[in-house]
Amino acid sequence: MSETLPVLVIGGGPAGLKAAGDLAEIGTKVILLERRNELGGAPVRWRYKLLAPDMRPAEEVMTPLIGNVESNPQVLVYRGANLESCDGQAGNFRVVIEKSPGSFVEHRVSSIIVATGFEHFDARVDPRYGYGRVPNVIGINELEGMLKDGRVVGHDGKVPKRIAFIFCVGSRDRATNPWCCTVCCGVSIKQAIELKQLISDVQLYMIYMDVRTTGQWERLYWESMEEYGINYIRGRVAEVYYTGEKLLLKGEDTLVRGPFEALFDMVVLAVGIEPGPGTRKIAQTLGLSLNENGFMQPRHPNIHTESTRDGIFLAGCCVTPMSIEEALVEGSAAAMAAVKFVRGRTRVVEV
Amino acid sequence: MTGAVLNLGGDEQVEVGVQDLKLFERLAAERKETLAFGKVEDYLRMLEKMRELERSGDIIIHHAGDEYEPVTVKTLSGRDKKIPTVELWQHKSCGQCGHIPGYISALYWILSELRVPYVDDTNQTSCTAWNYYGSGTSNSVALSAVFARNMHAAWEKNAYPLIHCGTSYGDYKECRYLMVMNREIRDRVKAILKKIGRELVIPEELVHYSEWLHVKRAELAERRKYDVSGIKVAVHAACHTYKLMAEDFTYDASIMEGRRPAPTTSVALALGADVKEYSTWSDCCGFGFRHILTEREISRSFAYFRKIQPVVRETGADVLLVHDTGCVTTLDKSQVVTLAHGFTETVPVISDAQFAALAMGAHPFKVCQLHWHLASWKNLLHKMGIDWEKAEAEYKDYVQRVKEGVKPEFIKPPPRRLEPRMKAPSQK
Amino acid sequence: MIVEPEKLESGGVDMSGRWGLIVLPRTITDFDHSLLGAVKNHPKGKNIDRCWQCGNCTAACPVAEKNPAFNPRYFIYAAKMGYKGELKKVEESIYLCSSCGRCTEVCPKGVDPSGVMEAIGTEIRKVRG
Repeated sequence: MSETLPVLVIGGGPAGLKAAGDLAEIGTKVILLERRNELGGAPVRWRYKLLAPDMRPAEEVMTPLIGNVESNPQVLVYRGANLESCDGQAGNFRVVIEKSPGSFVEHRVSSIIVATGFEHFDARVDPRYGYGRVPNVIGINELEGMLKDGRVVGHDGKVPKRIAFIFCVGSRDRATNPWCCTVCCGVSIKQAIELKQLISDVQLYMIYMDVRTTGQWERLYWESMEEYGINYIRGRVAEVYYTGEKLLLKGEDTLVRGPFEALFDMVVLAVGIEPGPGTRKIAQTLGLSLNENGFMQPRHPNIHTESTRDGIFLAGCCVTPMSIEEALVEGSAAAMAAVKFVRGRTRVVEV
Repeated sequence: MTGAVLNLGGDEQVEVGVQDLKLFERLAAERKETLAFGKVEDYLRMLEKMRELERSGDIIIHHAGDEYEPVTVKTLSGRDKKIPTVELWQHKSCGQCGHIPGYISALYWILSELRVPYVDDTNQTSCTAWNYYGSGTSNSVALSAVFARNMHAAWEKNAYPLIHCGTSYGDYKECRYLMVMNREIRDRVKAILKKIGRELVIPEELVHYSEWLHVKRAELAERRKYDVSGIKVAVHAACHTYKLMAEDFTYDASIMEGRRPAPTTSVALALGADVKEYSTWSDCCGFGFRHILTEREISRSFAYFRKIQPVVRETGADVLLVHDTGCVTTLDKSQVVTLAHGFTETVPVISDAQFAALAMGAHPFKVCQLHWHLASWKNLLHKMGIDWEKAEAEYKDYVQRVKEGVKPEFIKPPPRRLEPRMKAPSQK
Repeated sequence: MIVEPEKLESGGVDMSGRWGLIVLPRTITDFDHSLLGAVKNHPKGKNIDRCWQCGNCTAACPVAEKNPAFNPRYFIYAAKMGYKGELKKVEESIYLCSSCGRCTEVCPKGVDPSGVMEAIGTEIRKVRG
């Protein structure tokens, strides 16, 4: 149909913001739909401080990303809004948006980019670690905000001197989520380094199955050991028991082939990335396929951008766990795909 | 620490309630479809199948009807379980009668005190599960036939079976599942029972005696003679009661937030004792390992170092309460060897029945038979205010009189209100 | 660890031999990094922090090929984590190192396992068992 119909971008995280920004930059109108009350997705919601691997402030990426969208008149932003329904066809979708509870608005869009992001695994589901039940057990998402504040304390208000990170919580596990979240290893190690810088004489123990710091992120792993003296225990934790004062971790040290039981002040769980309720709802509303793990399923598993429906494109963590740099790339790719799609159809009509 | 506040990002916070903590049971049950042996749904389906078999005349179900005055409790699957409280057929434990006679006489004493009619049938056979769990040398038909024979004997007497031993209870849970779900085993068991003139009777509920104590705990507390508020109690729950076929045992939202099985802990709390937690609460005592037959040294070392030592070090408990034969046996007896090696940390190990009976004023030796226990209980009795030296002198005197020909004292069950189903005694 | 007493008696009952056998728990309960500090101060042990337990050193080691008790990767791990009890058990074995240098050649992190083991061997002797 007409090139003047805007593109709908669902999700205001890194992928969605990049897609919206790119589209606006080349003159395409955009409607950006974000279900939370603020833009920025996970980096803003969880208050990211520094980004792996080079420890650059998150603002260096997020501020221009959000600024591009908010300051550009080509982009119409709905915050705290939901997608109520979508019908019509590729090139001419009729979408109804609930811009605030009970208040609806209708738009016609040429194409849709789905960038609904992720949720962190709710560690209450895995009772081994006592998350939500005993004090001083937190997730890497909560720790990030504390690092941003420059103040890391347990639920009891005390500064921890011995902290254990447990990798693979809610990931690589048939009982919870069987996939790998790709970035938690790097993020956990980054946070451990930040803790070393923040709290003098803190002792850190990373309890891991594998360390998957891919690509350039590998340097974090080397630095953590060689410069910061962070300890690595290969093994798994069976139970976190609260003694009334400290946390007793019971686990198996694979390299020694024997059990260990040690006391810590705080336990940080590397809670994994999983598809959130937003992803599920959008898939249902738009009639998109989800794979067996609940992530958005692209038309071809190795080409993320195209969804199973014409005119609808995918980007970011709603497809598979990934880092911010990768999500930005996917956002741009989806924007390009949308533009190609719209121009392709226009050309056909013109002919 | 319920009521914890979780930070969900941005301005979102949520307070964690007790019901949220049960997420794992439901979600894990969903996700472990092909990995676990039997889900809650399988268990519930088994109960449904049992009712079907009754309708088709294949089996007889011994219902926990109103004549037994049942009390309802909750289980992990959310199902309500009926615990009959009167007219109980005592399914005794061979290990208790053999090594811990105080265990069973304390329970009988409590039943008599509470005026609960019961049947102490001499016509009971061992469940043989100790042999099965220890060496794996029995087979499903033999075990199920023994189970069915005992259940028929109870049904004949019109008394509801109350199972004393955790191992029996665990074994019977499995046998009931096998017999209901498998036609071949059921038919073969029926053929065996036919030879001894019995029919196949399966109880509607399998009830462990600790669950009976749990529902009766208020009455136990009423009759309390000694003040136990200063007694520190640690509790150990048997694997066969709450880990094996976990859907069947009693849980209560008010006892340890429903994270731990309710019996024994609830009785100690009702009596007013100070119940303590310790880091190895959910560890096995070590008796149920196959090692108990072939390498019992590992079993006894495990009982001491993984259970007794943490209990003493972390809680300073005056007594460790247990509700199973094997657990009492190993936790108590294993302390002797380590004591010889110089490990002096010790704690008396007795059953919840013995502890409740002591608190209610039962004789420590005539009824609770504490002289059979190896780990020293002297401090415990002192703290409870029981003059054990005097009781010991009484007991020695009593034994002397019995030797001289005086008739021993027996615990008499209260008169029954229900009539046995069959007047004539059955065969084997 | 299995303790079988040759002679043991309690309350007049003879519990010698198998009757008195107990098995001690082998749970590691603490990490004590004082040994690590000592090793790092030793001129040959300064790169011990780099070790990430890949096992290349043990794989290349000719002594380990013949003697399973000799495991360079494991010695370095025990020293890093402060498992002094474990190291005391293998104290004598550390000196079986032939100083061939193959481990140092194959180590991807530049730990110099051969040198680190020399440092560990020296320092563990100072620790009372």
